[in-house]
Amino acid sequence: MVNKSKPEAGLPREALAKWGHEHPLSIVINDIVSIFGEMDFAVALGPEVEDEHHNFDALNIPAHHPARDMWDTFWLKRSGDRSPDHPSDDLGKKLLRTHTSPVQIRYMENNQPPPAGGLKIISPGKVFRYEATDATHEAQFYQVEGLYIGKDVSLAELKGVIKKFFEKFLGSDVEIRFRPSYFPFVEPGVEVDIKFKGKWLEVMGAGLVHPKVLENVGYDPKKWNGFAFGGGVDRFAMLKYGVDDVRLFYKGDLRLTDQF
Amino acid sequence: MKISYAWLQEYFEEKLPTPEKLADLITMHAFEIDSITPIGHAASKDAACPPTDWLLDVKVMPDRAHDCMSYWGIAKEVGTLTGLEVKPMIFPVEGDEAVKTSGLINLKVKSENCRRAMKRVAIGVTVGPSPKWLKNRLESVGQRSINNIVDIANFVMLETGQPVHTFDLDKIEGNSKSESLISKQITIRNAKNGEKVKTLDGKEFILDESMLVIADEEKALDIAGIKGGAVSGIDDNTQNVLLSACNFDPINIRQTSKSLGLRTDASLRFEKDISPTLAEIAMDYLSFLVKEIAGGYLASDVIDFYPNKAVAPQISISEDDINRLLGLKIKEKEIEDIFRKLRFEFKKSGFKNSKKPNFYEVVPPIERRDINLKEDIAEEVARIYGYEKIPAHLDTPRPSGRGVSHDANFLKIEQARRQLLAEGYSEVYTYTFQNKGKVELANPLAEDKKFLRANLSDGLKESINLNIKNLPLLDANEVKVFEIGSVFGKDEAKSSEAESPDASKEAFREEIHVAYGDKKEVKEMKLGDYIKDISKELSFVQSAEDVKYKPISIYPFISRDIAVWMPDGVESDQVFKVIKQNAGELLAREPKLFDKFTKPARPDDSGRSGGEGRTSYAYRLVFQSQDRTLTDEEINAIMAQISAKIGQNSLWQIR
Repeated sequence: MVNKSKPEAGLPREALAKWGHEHPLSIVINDIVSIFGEMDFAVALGPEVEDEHHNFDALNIPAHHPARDMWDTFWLKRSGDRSPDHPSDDLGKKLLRTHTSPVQIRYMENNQPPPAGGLKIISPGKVFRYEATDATHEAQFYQVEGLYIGKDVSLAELKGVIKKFFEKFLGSDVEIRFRPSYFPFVEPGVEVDIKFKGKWLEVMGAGLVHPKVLENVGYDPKKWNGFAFGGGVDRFAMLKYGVDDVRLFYKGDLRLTDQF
Repeated sequence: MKISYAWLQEYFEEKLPTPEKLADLITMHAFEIDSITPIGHAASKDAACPPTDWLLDVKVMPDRAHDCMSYWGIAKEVGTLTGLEVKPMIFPVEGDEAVKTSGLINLKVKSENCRRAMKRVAIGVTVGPSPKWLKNRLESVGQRSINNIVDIANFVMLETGQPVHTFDLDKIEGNSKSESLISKQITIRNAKNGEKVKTLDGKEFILDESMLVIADEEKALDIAGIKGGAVSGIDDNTQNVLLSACNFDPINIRQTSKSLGLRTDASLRFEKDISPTLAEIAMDYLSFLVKEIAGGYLASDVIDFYPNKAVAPQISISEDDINRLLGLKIKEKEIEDIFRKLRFEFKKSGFKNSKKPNFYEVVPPIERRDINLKEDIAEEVARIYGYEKIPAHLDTPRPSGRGVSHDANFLKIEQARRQLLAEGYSEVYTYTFQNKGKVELANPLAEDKKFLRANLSDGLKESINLNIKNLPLLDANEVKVFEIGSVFGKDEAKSSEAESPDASKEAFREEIHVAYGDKKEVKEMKLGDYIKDISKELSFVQSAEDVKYKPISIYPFISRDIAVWMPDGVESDQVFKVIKQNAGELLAREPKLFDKFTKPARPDDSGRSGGEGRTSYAYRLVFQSQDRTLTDEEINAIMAQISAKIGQNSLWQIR
């Protein structure tokens, strides 16, 4: 799908100026889509404003569960809220999605029953976290989420797919490892580290889709299982190109874009 | 949780692996260790002065906080991972037959949110400073010593993960007017609306009826499960103590803690759903230490309200289940070995004469409340076996046969992006949070980021202004930018209906827009409208495999122009190269050709014969440093160097 050759190549220098530059995050997202596309993953998108059901409950993160503390959330103000600092606990609250995982839920809800051959989606998108910003933290950033639903899907297959992705994305010498972790929507849940330029770096969360998540979307966990993974696109771009401050991606500054 | 290595060692007869090895083992098989901090003579790397201890910062995940926010919990994990034996938590408690808790206290529990309540009385204790070992333990994890009784309670919580509390028995009202210690009424109940409790640190909290208190007949003694009250606190004159270990509904504790804005070591543990079985271990431990350190007489009995006993689940799982989920081929013997390390009880079951594989009935330890499904067992096996041993399989092609069909919007976005790039627009991303818009946040990060953007144009205009300032540093000769992204609005018709408190009826509108423009004009439209008019033939063009990002300098740049006459037939490349090669490292970007004109061949004024035309090439050079402000003088010197080089070629002439 992606033509890797620069059409600019071979054009006289004067003509180069006529082409615009693409934002590095767009480039990275297209790389990701292209690599996973070769493994049959299709792009799925979802809304940035979400409801609690898709962002939390259906992902096995019920209200009042301590795991909710893992996602600092922006809530939308409603006319009915008593105080802006403490949005009421009523149903129907809207929020800015804190991860791209709700796209999994929407996709599965809309594909009933799952196609006989299973399904494979990859969802890049903007997400939001209520946190102070610095060179490595932004309140808005991009994530990419992958989901594979099939029969007898194993952790070894998850490792195979993630390994292939990083080898293609960062180079065939990259090493990956799994480490124990916890995300309510997967079980087993793992952290994915890559060894890049001699250092182990945490780059993804992953695991086998939790049976409760399957139940929540109406898939029979006795017939279906699968894996899911997710990582930060900004971080991938920072690693790959050596960008030192995540905030640069959102400043509208061509001094960044121009380098790509 | 910060774990002292020396303290953890107390759980083992045998020596633990070195702090680094231990941290690595825990990280790869249980929890990430964020840091290892040497303590004591540590800071110096002098081998003659080795550290006396190390603090391991263990990142206990929310699903294990119920059994691992404690030394005992971590010790059991370490035991599982190292094979070292963990000392049992058994305490020789000697009660005095003459002292009966049930004679002094009458306990009533009036809320289902209290799942267990254990009470024991200790008479004639001596409150005073803690022994040195206890002080040291608490101080090693950054806790201040208060007095022996309070310190013991804190210590027991850190050891077992079970919050415990001590009340001054004589401050509990109820028949206190008579000198004899006759049964006092203690009730665990919902607070009254508006009921006030002053906590041990002197702060006052106003409770409501969703919250729990432990109360005597007149007043609330504490905020149950969260913080002790000042009215019943231990002081230097305390002689008789009520020891308490309870278990509360985690959701209730979490809600109370959130609405009071009061998070304590106790609430953080209770909200994680610790096992009610911990209470009995903690009560024994607390009783033992109080008697040991503060003396006095322990009651021989413990009041134990525990209506619904915790039961460990029984989970069926086969060898095949485990291997299928993990993509492994672990043998039965190895699985059973891992079960034993995890202290799982298990027995093999199966159908005789059946080809179905045998399966295990597994019962996890009662304090492990996170293990309920096959998948949970598989995870336990995987992490103990080692995730590094799981192979990477990519050899199971799935019949897709239909090709990959991407989301329609994604394809439209791509198409729009290619079109705009081809027209010379560069892509920017700007912030979703703006100072105006239609959709407001309940909890914005700042006043000027209260709204979700209603358009892309405002952000794009800011981007254009920023980039115009930096134009000499940029590739193009004018600023042309675009953004594709979501904008947010509200459906006007519905929101004007009424100020309906039912927000779900408020119609949010989220749309993907395309905006592009330059300093003169910014255009914005819906993605679908933009797509209608453009060609679909543009191929994807990006590749950035070789890009190495160069940090953006915060220092000002200096730009200089140079124009050179070149005889016809000489490529501009040649002069470009000379300029670039001599401009040095301060050159911020490639010299930019900004003007070019040709004088046709004709005899010139000096009367030389004509025949050769010439062309003027004008380049703009931009200089900038990553670490300082440049001076005119140094740039003048660079320009002089470039001019000198150009001058060496007699056919080139600087204008």
